[in-house]
Amino acid sequence: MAEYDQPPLSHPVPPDTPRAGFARGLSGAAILAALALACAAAPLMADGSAVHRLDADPVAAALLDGRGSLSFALLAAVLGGLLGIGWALLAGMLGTLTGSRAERRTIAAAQRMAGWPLALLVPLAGGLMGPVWLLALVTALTAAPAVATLAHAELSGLMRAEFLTAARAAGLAEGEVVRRHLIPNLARPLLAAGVLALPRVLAAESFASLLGLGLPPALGSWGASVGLAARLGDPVAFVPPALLLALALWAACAIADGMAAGQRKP
Amino acid sequence: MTDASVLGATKPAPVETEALTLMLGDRVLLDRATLRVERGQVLAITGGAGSGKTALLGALAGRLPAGVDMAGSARIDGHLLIAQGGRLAPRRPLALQVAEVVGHHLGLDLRSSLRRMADGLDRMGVPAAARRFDLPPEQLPEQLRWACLFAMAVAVGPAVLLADAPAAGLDPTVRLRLLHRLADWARADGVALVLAGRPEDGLAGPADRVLALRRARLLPPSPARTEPLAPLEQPGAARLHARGVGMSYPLAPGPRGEARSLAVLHGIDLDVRTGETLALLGETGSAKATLARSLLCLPPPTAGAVVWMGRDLMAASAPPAAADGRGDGRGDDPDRGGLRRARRDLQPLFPDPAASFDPAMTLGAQFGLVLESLRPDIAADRRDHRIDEALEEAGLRPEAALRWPSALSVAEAAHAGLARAILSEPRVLIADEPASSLSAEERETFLDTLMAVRDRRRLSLVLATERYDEGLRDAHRGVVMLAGRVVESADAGTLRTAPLHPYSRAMLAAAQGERPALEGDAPSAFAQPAGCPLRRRCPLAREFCAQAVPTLEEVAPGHHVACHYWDTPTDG
Amino acid sequence: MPRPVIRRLIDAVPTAVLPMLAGVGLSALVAPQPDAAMALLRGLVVTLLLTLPSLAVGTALGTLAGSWAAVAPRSAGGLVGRLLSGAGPLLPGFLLAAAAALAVRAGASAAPLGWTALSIPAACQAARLARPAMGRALGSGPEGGAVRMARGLGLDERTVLRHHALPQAVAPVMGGLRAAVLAAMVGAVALESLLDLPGAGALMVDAARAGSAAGAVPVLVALGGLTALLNALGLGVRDWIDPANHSSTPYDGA
Repeated sequence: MAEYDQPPLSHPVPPDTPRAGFARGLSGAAILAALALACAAAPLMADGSAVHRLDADPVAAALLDGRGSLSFALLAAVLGGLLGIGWALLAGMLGTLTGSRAERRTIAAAQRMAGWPLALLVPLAGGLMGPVWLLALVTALTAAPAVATLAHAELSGLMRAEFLTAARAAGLAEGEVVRRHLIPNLARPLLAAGVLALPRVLAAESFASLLGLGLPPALGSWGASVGLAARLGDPVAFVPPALLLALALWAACAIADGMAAGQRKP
Repeated sequence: MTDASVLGATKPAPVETEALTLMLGDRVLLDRATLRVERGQVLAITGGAGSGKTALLGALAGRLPAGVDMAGSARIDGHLLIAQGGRLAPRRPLALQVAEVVGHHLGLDLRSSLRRMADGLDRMGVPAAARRFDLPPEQLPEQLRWACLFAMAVAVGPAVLLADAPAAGLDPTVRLRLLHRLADWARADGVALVLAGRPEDGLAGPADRVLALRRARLLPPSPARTEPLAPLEQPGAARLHARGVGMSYPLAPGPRGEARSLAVLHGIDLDVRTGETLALLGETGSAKATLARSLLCLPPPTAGAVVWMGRDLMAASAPPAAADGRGDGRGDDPDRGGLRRARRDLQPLFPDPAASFDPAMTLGAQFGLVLESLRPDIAADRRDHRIDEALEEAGLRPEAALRWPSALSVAEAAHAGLARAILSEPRVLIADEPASSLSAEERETFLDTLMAVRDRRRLSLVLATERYDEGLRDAHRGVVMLAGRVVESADAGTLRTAPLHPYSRAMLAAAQGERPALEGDAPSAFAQPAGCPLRRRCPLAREFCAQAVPTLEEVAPGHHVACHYWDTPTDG
Repeated sequence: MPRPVIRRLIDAVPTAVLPMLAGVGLSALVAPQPDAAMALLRGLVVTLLLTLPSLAVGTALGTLAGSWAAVAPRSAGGLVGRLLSGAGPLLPGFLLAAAAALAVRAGASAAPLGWTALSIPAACQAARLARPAMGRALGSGPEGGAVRMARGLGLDERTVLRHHALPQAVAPVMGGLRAAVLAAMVGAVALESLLDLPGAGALMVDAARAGSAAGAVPVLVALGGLTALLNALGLGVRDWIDPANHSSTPYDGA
């Protein structure tokens, strides 16, 4: 009768569900890292000194294109993530300084913008503006409102957390509460919100390049190669960049999902 | 036992089990239980969280939860099972759902189904004005949803009704009224009614027979402690004063741009003496939690004054609020007008202890921070020792300091919250439903620990709770609150035996499992009736009650009541 | 047309119709070509005809397949649902549009391929949202309460699935419709440009290629209005299928 002597299980311990998002996020990160490595190493695979891209075999060409796509996506994602997080923090700050109305308006603007087809701005910018950094800024802007909305939701949820009240009950000054409790707890959700920008900017850039209005041809891009192959009707040139692009998008989405899922249940 | 012998003996009971055994993996939930419920009998099965009540009801209804294995036999006549939580399809109009269920069992059309449902609602005491069938369940108040569920069962009229945690989460006075009506129906119509729930839900009151599911066996329940653990000591002089404390929350501006606010707490006066335990009693919307937080100035009340040892806390807490904007935190005055000193003396216990710990720090780190802030006189190398002492006093092992909040069970989190509260050696604990997340034995253990800590440290304790008997059991004095006002205050003995206000009487009746003499449901905070907030439910209400809010008057030394007609007999 | 849809459309007039009118007016004023306004009007209709049917069909099929994947994961429909919900981010609309363009170059017919290319992302998105929601509705968590109650009250499994579980799977899909609309717009622009369809998206891309801001910006404004129109339609459909708006009439008996 040993099993009766165990203390009554206080709360039915939920069956230890493996954090579903975590494995996916990890595999996404692994795939993206492998893609980045392969793209970085692609010049070694192409034979000889100068790379004549159209003559090279399509896989090597696609890998070479990946360098442009991935580095641009990384740049724009960092920009977009920072913009979005800054937006959310600004809204939060406005809320504490001037009242909840300014906060609501700032965030409502982001929500409205997130419902607008911002991705269409990228080919427009590619066609009308010259430099790559401007394109990166516009691409970042297309992802920022979604990041801001999510980051602000996390921020305002955290501001109401009971443990902040407990910290105030322990006599901590407001600045201490922010430094000791708010910032450590905010880092992860904000990062999760920022990562949301990665799949969006990658998709936006590929879309623009697909139409021939994205990155300049010298940089190379999966989207541009896919678009070109589709126009030319060349399936051999189409498949490798399209596959790599789909894989990279899946991986970026998986990372974003995994971060968000890991966030929801601490 | 064979079927033939059962049939030969008497008519079979609607519910019969023979050596029913339930296993969850290799854990025994129920060990060879033999159970028989007759027609018109009301059986209550009580047990703490995770004790297997839901699995037992599922086995009776022939719907075992996933992962539960069953041995032995269970026989049941035509039955309905009201599942835990009382949820219906949230967006589908209630009338359609009712008609679906009633029509499915009785083969009636929509109109006849609804007519039967209306009869059922009559028996549940829902006034005709409150019947809004065309709304989806998620737009109905919770008490009305439960009343509709019970009325649906009444309309179907099964041989057996199984109810899992019926009306859990409702206020005790409302819950007991509904359960008594359901039990009346079962007895009158000869329905076998099985209620399952936590022991503190008061299912025992309306039941004919109570069984406690403990350690896999169905046993007669052990009576809860009704007397204090140790005789209460006489309290000393009053140290914590609240004068005219009020709280109102700003609302969105009105149609003409005028500022609006919702007052939830109206001018409360309160004194807490040293070593005194004061129970704040009230149900949802009574603002007892708001009062508890106002005493701590978390956040400070919007009116009145809170004075601790002659020092006005609201004056002390106001300047840092203005300094927040500068974000300069700690650099300013470390004691900020004595507020930090007061924080050291007044410590809270939170209703959800698990949420009151920072998930990004171990318990020990958080406790260290509390000590650093409130007890700078304790040297850094002595802090660990104090933390271990506090954890042990609160009934945890010192190793708990190394754990993360997410790894704590609910009970452990409650004890850890107590440990944090006593770290700074406070004089007053202000506890807002500290055991609301706990059930059965865990609840008793926690409350016993709390009382032991109180006695050892001679603490004053302000205990806000909706459990009338439990709150008064260990208290010197009780304050009954309703809609942000005190309606009765007296010493605990008086309140436990002879309360005078109709609301106190109803709470006492509910706590004892009797039928509370209040009808209808509590009004929402946004639609309080003019005059006495209880008048629409009160058996004593007369016309004058609508004209003036009753004020507290002293009816005996130390006994205050706020009711126009407290001295009128109930049946008059 | 059902009343909730009309109500939503009327609400959306300032955000949907005004930008479209502004775009058309703007292009009449500033665009280099003389017939730009008419071309834009025609283009908007083409884009609407491309996106609306594919969104509707894709979302409906994806929701059903995703829900079925939670009910019977090993059945054929369940497999399709799992496939769709897993493949979601792999298949963005513009990539499918490129594949469709490739197929058209190889001789396939354009219209059905275009609709298919646009409806697959919508179906993936719907399946991805519906499948876990259905799983929760049928599971042992708090969201499963309604289904447990319905079974406990003795309703048959068909009713339980239809009225108690499925609405819980549809709700998040309707909430995520905005993202699906955005993806469909992007996909439609890519498709029109690659297949040389006379849609608004192709007009914008052509103007952008020519470096003509006066030609591209009015189209962008009009496309924003079209997005708002599709969103409003989605909200209208959500209200229309919301069971809370289907109150039955004869309450006088009660």
